[in-house]
Parts: sequence; structure tokens; C-alpha cells
Amino acid sequence: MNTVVSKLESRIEEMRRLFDESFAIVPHEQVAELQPMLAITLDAGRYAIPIREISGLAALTEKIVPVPSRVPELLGLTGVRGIVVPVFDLAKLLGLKSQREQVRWLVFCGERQSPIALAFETMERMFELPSTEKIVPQDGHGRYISASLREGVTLRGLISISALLERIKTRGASERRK
Amino acid sequence: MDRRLTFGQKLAMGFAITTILATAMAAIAVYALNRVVASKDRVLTVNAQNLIDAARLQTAAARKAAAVRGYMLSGDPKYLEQETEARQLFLRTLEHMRPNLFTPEGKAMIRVVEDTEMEHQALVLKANEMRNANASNAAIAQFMRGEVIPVVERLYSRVDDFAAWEEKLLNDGRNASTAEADSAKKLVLAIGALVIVLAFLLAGFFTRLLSRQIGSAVQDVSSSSAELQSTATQQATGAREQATAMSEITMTINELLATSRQIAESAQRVASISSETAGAAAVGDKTVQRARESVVGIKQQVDLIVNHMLDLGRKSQQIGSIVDIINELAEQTNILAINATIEAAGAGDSGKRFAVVADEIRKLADRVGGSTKDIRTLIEEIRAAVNSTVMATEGGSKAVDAGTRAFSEVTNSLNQITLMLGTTTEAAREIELSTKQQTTAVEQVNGAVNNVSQVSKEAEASTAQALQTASQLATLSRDLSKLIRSQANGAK
Repeated sequence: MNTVVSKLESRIEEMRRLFDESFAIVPHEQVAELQPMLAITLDAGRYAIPIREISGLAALTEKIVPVPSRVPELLGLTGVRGIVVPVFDLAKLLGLKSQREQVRWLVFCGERQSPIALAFETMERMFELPSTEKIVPQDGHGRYISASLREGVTLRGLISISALLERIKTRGASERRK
Repeated sequence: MDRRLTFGQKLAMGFAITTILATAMAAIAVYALNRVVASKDRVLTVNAQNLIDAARLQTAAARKAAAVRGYMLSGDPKYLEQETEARQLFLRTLEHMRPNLFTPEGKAMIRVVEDTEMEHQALVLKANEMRNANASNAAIAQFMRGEVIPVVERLYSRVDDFAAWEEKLLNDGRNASTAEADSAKKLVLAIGALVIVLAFLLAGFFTRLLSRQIGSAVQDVSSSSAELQSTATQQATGAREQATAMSEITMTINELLATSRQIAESAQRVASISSETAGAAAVGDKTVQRARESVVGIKQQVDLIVNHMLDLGRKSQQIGSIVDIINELAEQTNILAINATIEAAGAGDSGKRFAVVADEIRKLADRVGGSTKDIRTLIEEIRAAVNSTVMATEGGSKAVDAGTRAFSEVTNSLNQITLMLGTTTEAAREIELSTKQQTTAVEQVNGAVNNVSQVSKEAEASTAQALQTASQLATLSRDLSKLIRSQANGAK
């Protein structure tokens, strides 16, 4: 127990030091362009979402209310900060096995006044990918996985949010015409 | 032959038969000898005496005739006396001969001799009267020549005839006696030969009978001696083993004796130690009383520790709740930081500096989240430790309760130990006394076992002697068997 306590104390000391140092460091120009990425897990697969393509992230705290729809990827509607948002199953949009009961996170995309929420299981963390070492062209994973990227020893599929939005809009228009 | 007769009886019977035969032979020999002797006696006492008496008669007749001539020639009276003495001798001899005359011929011849002598005496008396009457010599000589001398010669002739007759009887008696002796000798020789033959037959019969029976007995003796030898060998082996066992028993008893003495000393020490232990138990009772009071105090402290630990557990749970809140705050901060990053990215170049701040905030939130995980782990460990401590403390409390009860039991046990130590002391003294008695008994047993060991050794020696005797008996039986076989072969 003493080992754990001492470890905790050293950790607290380090946190306190880093926290203080973060205020002491002079802001500097970044040497290389970093692309922020959101690391997620879908159907036991590792994926990454470009931060630049989404407008927000939220934990799913409200209930998703199912609505009748011909679009099977539409899970329903939920409320986020006073706005009614349609929620689509990201895994199903990517053609993966849906884990609807395990959906915990929402990313928002599209217009700010009428966003669309994509629901997924696990948000791992955010990381920054240098723009110089990126992206391996992706073949055979569909048009919504634009590339594969390497994060350390892990390969992640790079989800193209813009392509997904295009599809959703296209299907919505066709459904409305029907 | 009756097989139930003993060898002695059989031998006695054989000797008896032989003795009977010898006795019979001796009796027959004696009888024959007696007959020969009687015959000789008769020859010597009768015929020879009669022959002697006949010679005396001749002498007396001659002396009488000479005296008659002398008186006729000289007229001297001494010749008359000689004549009378000669005639008396002649008559006494006749009287002496008369009982020994057994044959009619002899008696008749004696009577003739006696008659002739009477006739001669009458003529002699007549001649004497003529001489006394002084007759002439011529008349006397004529009378002598004409009357006396022929009678004298006839007397001489009769006496000679009698002597010849007696001599013949003597020769006949001698010859008869010799013939009888020869027949007796032949009879004795025949009987002797018969006895020898019978003795040989009996000897062969008894030899064969006794050889067969003695041979059988010798075979039995041989087999018995072999069995006796085997038994003696086994007895010798057993006696040696017994002697060895007795030696081991003696050693064991000596060890037992030493052990008994050690036990006696140990019992004495036990009695002493029991007394000391009784005192120590009393001291221990008091110590246990004090320890019991201390345990009661410990129990109170343990209860207090349990309460403190339970408070610690509850406060750990509260800390956990606070850490949950902190963790939630960190997650929300992280989400806010990510959203700030998103907003900064949407703002373009103007949002870069804000993006840096948002990134720092996100990293801080990550660190806080990681720290909250460590804190949660630490709290879980603390709670587990508290639970373990509470359980251990409760176990300790129960152990203290059990210890308290155990102290009561120890107190009771010490009291019982004190009582039992008294009993133990007494028992140890009794053991000491009994062990001393046992030591004495073991010493007596040791002496007895030594005697038995000596007897065993002597028995071993006796058995060896018996074995030697059995061997000698076997050898003797073999020799006797060989002797009997050789005799039997000789008898065949």
C-alpha cells in the first residue's frame, strides 16, 4: 500500500508540475502541421475521424427516440443543447455489424444549425497525426474509408465524414422524392 | 521254537540240551565204567583171591606133606606142630574160599579137595601112629609109598585142578571185563558222537535262529542308532541354537536390567520434576490470570481497531465517490477540450492558439483521467485491505474471545495439571519402587537365565556326547551286523 501511495504522490507531483509548466511555456509556432484525429472503435475495429470534418463531440446522455423511416441507418432523434438531432448508426453506415445497445458517443457533422449525429460505441482519445507521415491510400474498403493511417503500431481506417454526409443527404433526397 | 523266549532262555535251553546230552553221556559212561569196575572187582576180589587161596592150598598141602615126611624121618614132634599148622592153614584157606565160590564146578572141586585132604589126614594120622608105635621104617616107607603119597599126589592134583580152574575163571573174568569195557567205550563213543552231532545241530540251529533274530535286532539297532544320530544332530543344533538364544536372552536381560535402573532413576527424576512442575503450574496459573486480563484489554483495543477500520472503509467509499466525480469532470473536460479543438479547427488560422490551449486542457484532462484511474485502483486496494484488515481483526477478536475462553480452560487445565501432577508424583514414586522391585526380579531372572544358559551349554555338550555315542553305536551296529553276516555265511 505504501508503494501505491508513493506512486500516487509522485504522480500528483508530476501533474502539478506539468500543469504549472503549461502556463509557463511560451506559445511557439508548430514546426509541422498536425492533423487532429479522433480515435474510435467500431465492431472491434480501429478507426479515426478527422477533427476538421466534425463540428462537435458529446457523450450520449439522452435517450434516442426511434422514428419511422425507410433509412435503416437512422437510429432516431435525440436532443442536444436544445436542438433536435437525427442520429445515424455509424457502423451500419460503414457496412459493419451494428452494436446499437452499446452506442455511447455522438459526433456531430454537417451544418451548425441542423447538425447530424453519428453514433458509435467507444471513443478512445484524440490524437494528432503529422501531415508529413500520413496516409496510405486505401483500396477495397469502400468509399467511406478514404485511407489507412498508422498510429504507432496500430492501423486505423480513416473515415470520410464528408462522403458519409453526401450519402445521407442523397438518400434523404431520394426518400423524400419517393 | 517259541519266539517269545528270550535270547538268554534260548541260550540256556541250548546249553540245557547240551548239558542233558553230556549228562546222559556221562551217566552212561559212569554206568559202563561201574560195570567194568564191578567186573574187574569181581575178577580181582573173587577169581584172583581164589587163585591166591589155591596157591595157599598148594603151599599148605606141600608144607603138610613136608612136615609128615620130616616127622616120619626124624620123629621130631616139631614136625607134628608144623603138620598141624599146615593143616590149619589149609582148612582156614578152604573156609576163606568157600564164600567166594559161586560156580557149581568150583564148589564141587573144593569139596573134592576137602574130601581128599580128609582122606590124606586120615592116612597121616595112621602114619603118625605107626611112627609113634615105632613101626619099621620099611613099613612106614611102604605105607607112605603105598597109601599116603598117592593121596598126597591126588590132593596136589585136585588143588592144581582147582587152581587151573580158578585161573581159567580169572582169565574168563578178565576177558569178560575187557569186553564189557570195550562195549562201554563203544557206547560212550557212540553217545559222544551223538552228543557232538546234536551239539553241532543245536549250535547251527541256534546260530541261525539267533543270527536271524539278532541280525534283525541289529538292523533295528542300526536304524535306531541312525535315527538317534539324526535326532542327536538335531538336538545338538537345537542345543546350540538354544545356547545362542540363551546368550542373547542374557544380553537382553542385562540391557533390561540397565534399562530398569535407568527407569528407576528416571522415575525418581520424574517425581522430582513433577513436584517442581506443580509449583510451576501454580505460578503459571497466576500468570494465566494476568494474561487473561491482558487479553481482555487486547479485545477492547481490537474492537476499537475494528470500528476505526470500518470508518476507514466508509471514508474510502466516500473518496471513491469523489474520485468518480473527478473522473466524470475529467471526461467532460476532455470532451470540452475536443470540442474546443473542433471549434478551433473550424476557426482556421485564428483558432490555432486556441487550439493549443484546448490541447493542453485535453492533455490535462487525460492526465486527470489517468490519475483518477490510479486513485480508484488505490482506493480499491485500500478498501480490499480494509476489508481484509476488518476480517482479520474480527478474526483476531474471535481469536481473542477464543483465547479468553482458552485461558479459562488453561486455568482449569492447570488446576487439573496440579492435581494430576500430585497423582503423577505418587505414581512416579510407585513406579520407582516397582522398578526397583522389577530390577531385583530381573537380577534374579538374570541369575536363573545364566543357570539355564549353563545348563544349555551342558546340554549342548551332552548332546554332542550323545551324538558321539550314537555314532559309536552306529559303528558298533555295523560291526555287529558284519560279524553276524560273516558268521551266518560261515554257518551256511
